[in-house]
Amino acid sequence: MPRPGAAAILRGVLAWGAFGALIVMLSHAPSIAPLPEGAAMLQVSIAHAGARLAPCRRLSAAELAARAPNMRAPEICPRGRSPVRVTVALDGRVLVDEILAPSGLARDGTSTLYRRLAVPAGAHRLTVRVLDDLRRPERAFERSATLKLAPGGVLSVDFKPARGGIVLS
Amino acid sequence: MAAGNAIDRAFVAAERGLDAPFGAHANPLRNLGTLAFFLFWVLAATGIYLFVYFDTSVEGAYASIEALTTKQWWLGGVVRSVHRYAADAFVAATLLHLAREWAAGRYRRFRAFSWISGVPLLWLMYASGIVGYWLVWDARAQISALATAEWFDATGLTAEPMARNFLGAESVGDRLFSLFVFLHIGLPLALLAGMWIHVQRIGQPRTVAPRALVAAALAMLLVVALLHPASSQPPWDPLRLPATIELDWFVLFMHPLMAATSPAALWLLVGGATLLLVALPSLSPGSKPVPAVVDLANCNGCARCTVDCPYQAVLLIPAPNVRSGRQVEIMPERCAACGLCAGACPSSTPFRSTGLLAAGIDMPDADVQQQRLRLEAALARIAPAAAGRIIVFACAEAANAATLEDARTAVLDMRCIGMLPPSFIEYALRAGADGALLVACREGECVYRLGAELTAQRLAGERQPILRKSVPRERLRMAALAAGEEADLVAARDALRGALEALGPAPRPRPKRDAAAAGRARSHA
Repeated sequence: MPRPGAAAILRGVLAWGAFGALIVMLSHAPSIAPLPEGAAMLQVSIAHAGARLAPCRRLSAAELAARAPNMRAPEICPRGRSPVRVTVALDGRVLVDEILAPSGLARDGTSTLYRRLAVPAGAHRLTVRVLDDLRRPERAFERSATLKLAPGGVLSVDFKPARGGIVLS
Repeated sequence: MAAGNAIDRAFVAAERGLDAPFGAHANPLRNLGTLAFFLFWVLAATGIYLFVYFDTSVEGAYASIEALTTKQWWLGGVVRSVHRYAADAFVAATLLHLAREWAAGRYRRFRAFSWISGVPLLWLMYASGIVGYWLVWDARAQISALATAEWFDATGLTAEPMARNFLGAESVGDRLFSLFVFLHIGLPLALLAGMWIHVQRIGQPRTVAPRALVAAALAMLLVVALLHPASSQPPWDPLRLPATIELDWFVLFMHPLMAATSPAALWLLVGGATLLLVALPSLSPGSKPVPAVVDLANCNGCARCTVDCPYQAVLLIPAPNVRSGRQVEIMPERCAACGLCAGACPSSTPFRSTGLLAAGIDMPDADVQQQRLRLEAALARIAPAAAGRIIVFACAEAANAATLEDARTAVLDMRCIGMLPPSFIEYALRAGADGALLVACREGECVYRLGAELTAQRLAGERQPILRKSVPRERLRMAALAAGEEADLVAARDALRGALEALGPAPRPRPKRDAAAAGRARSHA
């Protein structure tokens, strides 16, 4: 191969330089804004198994006798669970109102919800209601709080009965 | 296809423009796949160094990378930056490689395996890159991990939303980081395995970049690493998001795309693109070439055709009943019908004295017998001329050699110049030509990858079958010219003619075949 001239070498340097410049440029810019200006983020995330549709019950002696010897567990628990209803309102405006079906083919798993919402920053009245047994509305968990959300702030809403129910963090 | 043609022309122009400084051998645009291989090794080497200092914990990850970047900027910081920019360059080279192969139509039939096996590599490439950004555990990782989780959650296949794993400090544990590290090592290893599979149907694949290309790529990476060191965004904070985040658009472009549309739209786009890429060879199959055939009676199992086949279409299989213990077999679906195997076959010679020539491996529509007849007819056309008679062996894909035809120039075209057994050149010089001009594709543009390169090696005596030393090299020229460079081809022919006129007529020992025929004629008389 003939030795490249100065113009050819310059062309080569420019080509690699342009590639390098493109790499650096698209590696950093343009920046993105995760949230609109002046907004905060509300994350509603719930994974909770609703109440059992039927309570566990002890089998009668006749029922036990009818079963194979290795299948004679004294108690039977129907697997189905109630859907869970979740309602989230901000300053009286309903943002989320969903009835979550239990997961799984037998509808015996957790009901799950995940929503990411951009809301205006500032002071708000947040109301969250979780009902895990649709047959008994009086059993609903409810929590209201006045919050001040800073721009870029993130508020997570979860439901953890072991920690008292609705958790805001 | 008009768009493909336009892009192809643009690539060709750019490739030729960069031939001058780098030569076709080290031209980055002619070595995009090789460049991607090299960048992968850069990523592996720099990644190992970074892993030595990386703290695999929620609390320590960000701090360990920051410490490496600031306290050891002269090495750790540079290595980090090179790792980052090599990843971007890897994506760019891979996407350019994909676009180049598509525009050139190099995805059909015998190339379909390489094309289709390349599609999963795109997924692995992006998965490796995206997970790599999570290891930094800054605000960019926060956005990326959450967006990726939301994307997978949209499939409805997970029992619980994966996004819940990234919502709060208590959701993120050190075990999650172990998973990240496992993924950032496991996915590139899977990518490497896929890259190995990707080149399995390529004969003599170029996976090692030439030194000049390595030097240029490393220099570029070091310069950009020093001029614009990679840096982290603010640390991950589940309670706060920064107003803006620097995004690596090479690797993370899918996140803003999903934000602008929806997870379902992104699945549709990515899934549709994947299916389209996989289906492309079937949607546009192109014409079916007539594959080479093996004549076991003339095959001695030397395996030259196996080695020279550019698409691994010729296999060497055990044959206990054959003296050599092995024989060749054609895989018709892989055969490009380029004829490089016929050019490599030692039995493919016009000097054999059998009545009907046959080679161990040959092209059924252009076999050695037909080639010799065509050569003899061509030689007969220029026989009346007194001197400067030239036989042109021309690749049909290169510059149009038909324009060279005149009273002293005869053209024998063939699918690829690699199809020409060197013995045909010697035969032509003995049987009436004063010189031979071989026309090949422009360097780096051989349609069948290896034709020009293997021919040059055969002529130089570096590769079997060689052109015998007794053949006068001063009567032989090789021109590597593309379509559109016919004027240069005429100039090459005229230059050879001038040299031949100075040399005088070629010495003409009678071909053995003629001598044998004459002997037979005498005995009959």
